[in-house]
Amino acid sequence: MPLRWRRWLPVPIVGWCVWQTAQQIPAWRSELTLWSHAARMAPFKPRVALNYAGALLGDGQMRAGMRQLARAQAVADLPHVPAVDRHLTRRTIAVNLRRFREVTR
Amino acid sequence: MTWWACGLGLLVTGLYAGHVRSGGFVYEDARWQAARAAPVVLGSRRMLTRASWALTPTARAAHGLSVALHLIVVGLLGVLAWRLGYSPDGVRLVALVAAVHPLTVEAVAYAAARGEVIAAIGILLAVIGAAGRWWRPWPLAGMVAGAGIGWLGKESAVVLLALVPLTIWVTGRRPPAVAWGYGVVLLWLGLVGAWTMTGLDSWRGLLTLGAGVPGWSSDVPAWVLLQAAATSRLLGVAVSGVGMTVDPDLDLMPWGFRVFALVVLAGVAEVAWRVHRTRPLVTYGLTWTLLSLVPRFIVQTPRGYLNEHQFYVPLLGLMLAGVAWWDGWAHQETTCRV
Repeated sequence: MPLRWRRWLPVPIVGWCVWQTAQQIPAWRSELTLWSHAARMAPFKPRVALNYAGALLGDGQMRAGMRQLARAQAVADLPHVPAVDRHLTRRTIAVNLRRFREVTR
Repeated sequence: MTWWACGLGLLVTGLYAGHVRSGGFVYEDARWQAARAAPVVLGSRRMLTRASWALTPTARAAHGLSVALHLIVVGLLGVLAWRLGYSPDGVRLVALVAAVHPLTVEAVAYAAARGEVIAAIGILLAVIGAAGRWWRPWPLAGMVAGAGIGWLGKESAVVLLALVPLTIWVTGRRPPAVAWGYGVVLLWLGLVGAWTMTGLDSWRGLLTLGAGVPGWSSDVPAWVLLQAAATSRLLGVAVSGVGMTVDPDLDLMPWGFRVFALVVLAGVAEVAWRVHRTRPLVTYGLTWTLLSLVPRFIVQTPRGYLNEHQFYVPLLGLMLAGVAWWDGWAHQETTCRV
C-alpha cells in the first residue's frame, strides 16, 4: 500500500467506531432498552431473562413480564447453567412472583 | 491541536447528548444511588466514586459527569502518547479512538461503572508521571496523586503498581543513583499510605466475595478458563467494534473454546515479547492490556465474569498498541538501496 494512503487507513475505522457507538448508547437509556438488547444478545442466560422480566414488569407490561419470568425459569434449567445461577434465578423468581401476587390481589 | 481537541470534545458530547438528556438509571445504578445516603468517609473504599454519586443525584447530572470524566481520560491518554513519543497523528488518533470506541460506552453511559473511569484517570496520571524524568519531585507527586485517585476510585487501579515500572522501562530513562533511591522510597511510601487509607479489611473481603453464596464454590482452573474466554471475547469486540452487551452468555461457551481463549492470550503475550526490540510501544500497549487484566483472574466473584466496563483500562493499552503499530507503519521512511 502506498505510504500516503496508509495515513488515511484509520478514517474508515474511526467512522465505524462512531457508528457503532451511536448504535450502542441508546441501549443504556432505560432498563427496558438495556435488557431487551441483552436478551437478543444472550437468549439462554437466566439472569438476562430475569432482568428483562423485571424491566417489563416495572414498565407495567405484566403479561409479557410473566412470560419472561417463565422463560427465565426454563432457561435456568438448561444444562449449561451453573448451579449458583440456577439457585439465584429460582430464588429471585419466587420473590418476584410473591410480589406480583401481592400487587394483583 | 486546540481546534482538533475542541472538535473531539464536541463529537463526544454530540454522541452522548441524547443519553445525558433522557437516559435514566439502570441495572445496579439504583443500588449505588441508595448507597449515596451513607456518609462518605475520608479514605474509605471507593471514596471518590461514592462522592461523585453523592454529587450527582439526578440521572442527567450523573451521565453528564461520566462523559466529562471520559473526556479527561481521552485527554490524559493523548498526553501519555505524546510523552511516549508518538507522532502528532498518532497522538490525535489514539485520543480519537479512545473517545469514540464502542467498547467504552458501558463505562461512560452506566453511572455505576464510574469507578473504572476514575481509576483510569488515576492510572493515567501515574503513568504520565512515570513517562519522563520520573525521579523529579513533580512527576513523583503526580505518580503518588494518581495512585491515590485511582485507588479511591476503584481497587482495579492496583494495576498501576505494574504499569508504572512498565512505563519507566519503555521510556528507558535512567535516574542518577541517589535520586533513584529517593524516588523509589517516596513512591513506595505513597503507595503504602494509599493502601492503608483504603482499608485492608475491604481488600481481604474482595478475595472472598463468593463466600456464603449457595451453589458457589471456588474453582481456580475453571475460573481462569472462563475469564480467558471473557477476555478473548472482549478482544474480539474491541477489534471488530460489534457484539457489545451488558451480560454475555459465557457459560454457553464450550470448554474447547475456553482453552483456545487461553491460548489466544498466550499468543498476545508472545507477540508482545517478539516485538519488544523493534516495536517497544506495541509491546508496551499489549503488556498494559495483559497486566491490567490480572486482577480479574485472581478475584473470584459469583457470576462476575470480566465485563465491558472492567475492560475500560485494558482497552487503553490495546489502543496504545494498535496506534503504535499504525504509527510505525504509516510513517516509515522508504530507504533507497545504492
